[in-house]
Amino acid sequence: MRVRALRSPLSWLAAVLAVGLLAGCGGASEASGKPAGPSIPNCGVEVPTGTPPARVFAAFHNAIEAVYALGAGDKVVGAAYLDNQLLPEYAAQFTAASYYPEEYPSREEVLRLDPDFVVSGFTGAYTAEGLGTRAELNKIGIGSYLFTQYCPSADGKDQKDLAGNDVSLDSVYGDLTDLGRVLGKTAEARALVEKMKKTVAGTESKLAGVTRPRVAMLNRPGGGELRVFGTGDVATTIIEKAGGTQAFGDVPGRLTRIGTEELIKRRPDVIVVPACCGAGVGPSGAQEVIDGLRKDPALANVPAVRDGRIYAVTFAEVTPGVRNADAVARLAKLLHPEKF
Amino acid sequence: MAVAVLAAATAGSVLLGNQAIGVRTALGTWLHPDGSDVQRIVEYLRVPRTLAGLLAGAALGVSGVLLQGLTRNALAGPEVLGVNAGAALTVVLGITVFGVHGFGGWVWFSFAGAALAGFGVYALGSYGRGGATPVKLALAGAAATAFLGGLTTALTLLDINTFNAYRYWSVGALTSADTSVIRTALPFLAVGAVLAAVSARALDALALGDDMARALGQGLMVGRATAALAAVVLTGTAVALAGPIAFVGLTVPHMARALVGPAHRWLLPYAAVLAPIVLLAADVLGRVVARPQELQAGIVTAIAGAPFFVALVRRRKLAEL
Repeated sequence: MRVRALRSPLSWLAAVLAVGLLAGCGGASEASGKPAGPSIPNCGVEVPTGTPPARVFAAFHNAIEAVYALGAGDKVVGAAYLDNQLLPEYAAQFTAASYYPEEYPSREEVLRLDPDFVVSGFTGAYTAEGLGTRAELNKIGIGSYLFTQYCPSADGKDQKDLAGNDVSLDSVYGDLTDLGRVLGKTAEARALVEKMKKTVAGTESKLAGVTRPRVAMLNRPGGGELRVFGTGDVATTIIEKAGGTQAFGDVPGRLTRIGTEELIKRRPDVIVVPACCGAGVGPSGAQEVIDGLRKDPALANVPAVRDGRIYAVTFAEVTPGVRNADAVARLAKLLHPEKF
Repeated sequence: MAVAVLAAATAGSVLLGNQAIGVRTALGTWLHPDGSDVQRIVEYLRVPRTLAGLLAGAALGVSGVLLQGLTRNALAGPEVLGVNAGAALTVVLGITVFGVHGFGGWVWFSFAGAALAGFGVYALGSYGRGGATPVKLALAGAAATAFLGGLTTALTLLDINTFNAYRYWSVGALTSADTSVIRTALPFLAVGAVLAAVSARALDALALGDDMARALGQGLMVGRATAALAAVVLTGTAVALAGPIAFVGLTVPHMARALVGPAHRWLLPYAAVLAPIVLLAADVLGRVVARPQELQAGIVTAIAGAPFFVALVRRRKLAEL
């Protein structure tokens, strides 16, 4: 945190008050005896750097892979919720961690693993129904990090109550950089972000002047309603970086339920279905939804259905994290095969 | 009059929605299928959901009248006999244990569950002194609903995919049934309608109290059993078509009673006409209020139906049953 020069007597007074307040409230971090490095603001919570955490609990796919990609996989004591198969390079190391595949492990279950830090890829981990709010975790000496595209409007709020977050790839790079600093892996983070930027730049360089197809990304949990990814999700960023146009570019938020008629009206040229959720789920997990769309006679005139351009991806690659750059490259190949 | 309103509601359900379709366009594409988007929307989306609304609505309305007459309880609905809860549990069992997906498969599970729960509650309610009295039936139904609901919750919590499928279905929507499902449902609905019509006289007699009914020479057991069977068949089919849509079966009998009085030979057909109007109106409302999103019909009936029902209860004396 940068400290501004204090000039007026009033700002001195404010500073003294602030220090007093911090000393009053921040007893826990003092008690844990860690030397406080400069802290990083993360969704309104200050996360200290300096002494890297030794026992990390990672919740959700993107958080788990980020910790491994940053080279801190040996610190993972527990993990929950894989959306897809873990990237093969981490699979061997991952077996050491306690893994909770389906539900949130209970708060007690997580505390039993005695983590000193929690990294979460989605908002829900830090709610009363999850592991507790970040303030509550902090009180018992457990630090926390949340991917900033899922910052809630206030600590403890869930997925339904997100702040107006930046869903660009820059925010993903920012998360990986910040998380790298917190985990004491600054150099690894820099290398990872450079590699991702190179992949995206390489893809973009091949896409100059292409005609951009209209792309809808959607899923259909449990065979129920269609849910399209809107402009408040990194999916939109990936579509556009890959040389497509978001067919639901005027729909805000992460996921919006729509009826079949709305999909017909939007006439997407390409439909992308992310497969989810489970440690064994690959892209083929989207097949049932894809077959359903192909067979629906109401959709027969939609260009994506008519031309057979419905593609499966993994949900993990369209959530903010280390896979996003490869996701851009892969989607670009699907949208513009002639360019690759 | 009511039939004219129903015709209007039906037309509205075909023409209104995400995009309004003109009468002429709709008729034109229907008579001369051209493969256009409008034709596909009308043929594969609007018409099936309208049919589902008509059939499920009528079934729920009639079933509500039957259950209220049967239990002589103004607050009775498919919920009270545990019929909804039974249907829901077997559908969830179908998904988790048998891996059944899609409504074509769920019909049978829903139907079996409604029947088993209805029969079980009836058996439980008739056990002991005095036979199947209204109070004992209602109590047995409440107990069964709590028990079956608990099992359903336990099953859905075990598996996130089941939970997702169930969550959508459990609210109730008209968009899930396609033409083949509707065709499967028709014979069940016909049987239910005949049984309901047959039981009208018995229900009128029951309304006078058990002693009076007996004095009038009505076979109490047979009358009750026929009405209960009809309610089970109709509810099970409606639930399979559209999920356990709330408030239609509860509210519509009161509307019908306000219009034509307590005689079941009038109540039943009126409920069969009024309930689809309510359900289709709710569905159309759900399509247009939150565009581009769509609200499930079950959400709209719950939001709009609850205050309506409270007003109805406050205005009319419920002791009239």
